[in-house]
Amino acid sequence: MSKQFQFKLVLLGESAVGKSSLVLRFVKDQFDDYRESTIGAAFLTQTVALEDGTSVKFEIWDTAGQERYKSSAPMYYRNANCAVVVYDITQSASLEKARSWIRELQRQADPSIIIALCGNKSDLAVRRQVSQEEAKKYAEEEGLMWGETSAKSGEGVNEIFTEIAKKLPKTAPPSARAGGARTGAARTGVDLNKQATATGGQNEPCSC
Amino acid sequence: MREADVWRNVSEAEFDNAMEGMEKLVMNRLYDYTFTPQVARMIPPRPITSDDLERDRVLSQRIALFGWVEPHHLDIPEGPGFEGFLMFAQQELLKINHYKAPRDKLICILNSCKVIFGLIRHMHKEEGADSFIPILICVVLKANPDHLLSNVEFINRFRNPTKLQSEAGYYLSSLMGAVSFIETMDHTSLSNITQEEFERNVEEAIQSLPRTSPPTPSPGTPVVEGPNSPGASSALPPPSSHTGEESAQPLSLPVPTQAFSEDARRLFQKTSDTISKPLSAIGRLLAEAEESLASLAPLDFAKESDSPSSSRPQTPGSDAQHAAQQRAPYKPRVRRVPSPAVPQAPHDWDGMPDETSSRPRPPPPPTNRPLAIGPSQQPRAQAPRMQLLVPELQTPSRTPQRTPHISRAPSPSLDLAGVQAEIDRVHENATNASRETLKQIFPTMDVEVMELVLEANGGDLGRSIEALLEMSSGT
Repeated sequence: MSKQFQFKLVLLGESAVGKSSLVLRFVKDQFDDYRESTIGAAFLTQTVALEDGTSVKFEIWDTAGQERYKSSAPMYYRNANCAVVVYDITQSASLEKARSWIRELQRQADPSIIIALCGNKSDLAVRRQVSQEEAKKYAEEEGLMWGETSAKSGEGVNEIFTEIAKKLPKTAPPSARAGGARTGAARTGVDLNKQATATGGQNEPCSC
Repeated sequence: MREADVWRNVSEAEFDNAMEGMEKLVMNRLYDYTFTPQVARMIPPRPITSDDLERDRVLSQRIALFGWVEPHHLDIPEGPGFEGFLMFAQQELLKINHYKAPRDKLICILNSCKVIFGLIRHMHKEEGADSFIPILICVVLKANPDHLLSNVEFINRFRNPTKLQSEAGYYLSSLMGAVSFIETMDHTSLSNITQEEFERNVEEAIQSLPRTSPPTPSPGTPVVEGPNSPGASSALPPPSSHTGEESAQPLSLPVPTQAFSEDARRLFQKTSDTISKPLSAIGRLLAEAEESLASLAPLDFAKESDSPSSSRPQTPGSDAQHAAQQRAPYKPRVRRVPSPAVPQAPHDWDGMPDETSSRPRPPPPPTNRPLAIGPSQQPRAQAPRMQLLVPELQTPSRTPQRTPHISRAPSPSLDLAGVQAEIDRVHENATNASRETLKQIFPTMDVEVMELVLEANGGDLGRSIEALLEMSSGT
């Protein structure tokens, strides 16, 4: 069995840039192990197999792109290992919005978060308002990954997620990584597992 | 726990089940000491170490100020069936106070989200957070569950942390996001409304609040927690019945046994074992149902109110299906609920020791009883809301008793054959619509299973949804 790592990926961007379609394309295409999520498409998972024999399982957290829900975004990107910030190449305003998300992530999110800037709707290149050069230059300045995708045709979709998967650090034990996914400031109770973890690590049985 | 003899050699899956069972057992026993609203009711009093109750009160009051918020204020497109889905989502969320174990409470939240996604599919909208979050906010606003924050905090504190990741974590976070939106919303966070309208609506809501409410903040500003007045906890609504442990108690569905194969029966038995009654939600549901009733066109209502006396169509997938989709699929269920005309069987409620809800319930149709054979839990099976109707069990002899309903029909002198045909048509439409709705909520579920469940529940959509939610959450 290959080694699997699990990461939390948060999806940001204005509404109507095709965030959800992008992820649906990624999750439903190509891979055989797609399973209908149990509740709905706002939370999806997908596993990417890498050439080195490891595999990366993404837990994809979709966010509402409308401006009015901006204040709840921190609940979603908290403890995220990576973020995909999506804009629409036919709407230059959506890149502005993406920039503001990126600034927020750089300020507020985990400093080690990997951010990918993603220009969606590359199938509509005739109506392009954002040039590849402009977006790429910005991404390089900010140290972001960058790519263009078409959720409609599927072009570039798997590539960008695979690139992210390659870039994620495969150092922490898989379960510990996943464990970071949800430990909010909200948790103030007693963690009964703490002692067991401290003394023996994740695989030691709890002696309670 | 793993080292104990009992569990040393069991498989991971079995151990996981054991852990879940243990969590439930322990938390059921400790509920009075751990769930803040319960702690507040302890005699002798115990110190309350969190501000949950204050936050509950503030949130609940804030939500009460926004009862007028409609879906279009959040840019939610409405369509046929919208209200019904919304009502089911509220109803699932409201069950949260009926359970004690953190897992069960969490499942109520997840089920509510699942119904919302059913609605999104029903509306053919793109599935994703952009369409999900506004509806979730709408559901929280309309449902206004008691002690929502206490419940969420309780889940955060006492649910096994490894079970609060991934999907469950996502939807719990979304609920918190919805709450924080409500806590801070003003006219700029809503669509299709001016500042004046917003303030006027809030002002009106303040006027209609009960007198016990503390001073309300001016519109447009977030509610700030006031000083913890000594009377705060006594001003809380009276304790609702927390009989939340009964999910372990079996419940038998009134399935006409001869109609089902052994397999199907076992399936239902399994389902029944895990369902428990959301009694505390019923009163609210009744009130809402009455509202919906009032809003139905009289003619429409009259037609439908008769339909149960017709024979239920058994053939699936007729051409009428598509047309049926255009109808509001929930009417058949809604119209039953407040029926005052159904006669009460005097001993129907005997043998329900844990039934302590004081809210009004419609009595079950007595004609069901002879057929709900066998299991000693029969009275539970006849619990209120689920009861609504089992049309094929209606006997002609009931018709006179239903006179008050029938009198609403526009013209009692219509020729009977014509009425019957109309009734059959309407009813068939309703059944097909229900079938479509189930498909939307459970896209991966086997169609035949849904058919069976729908049939077993006498065509009652709400009941079928619950049964299917239970079945799918178990897998």
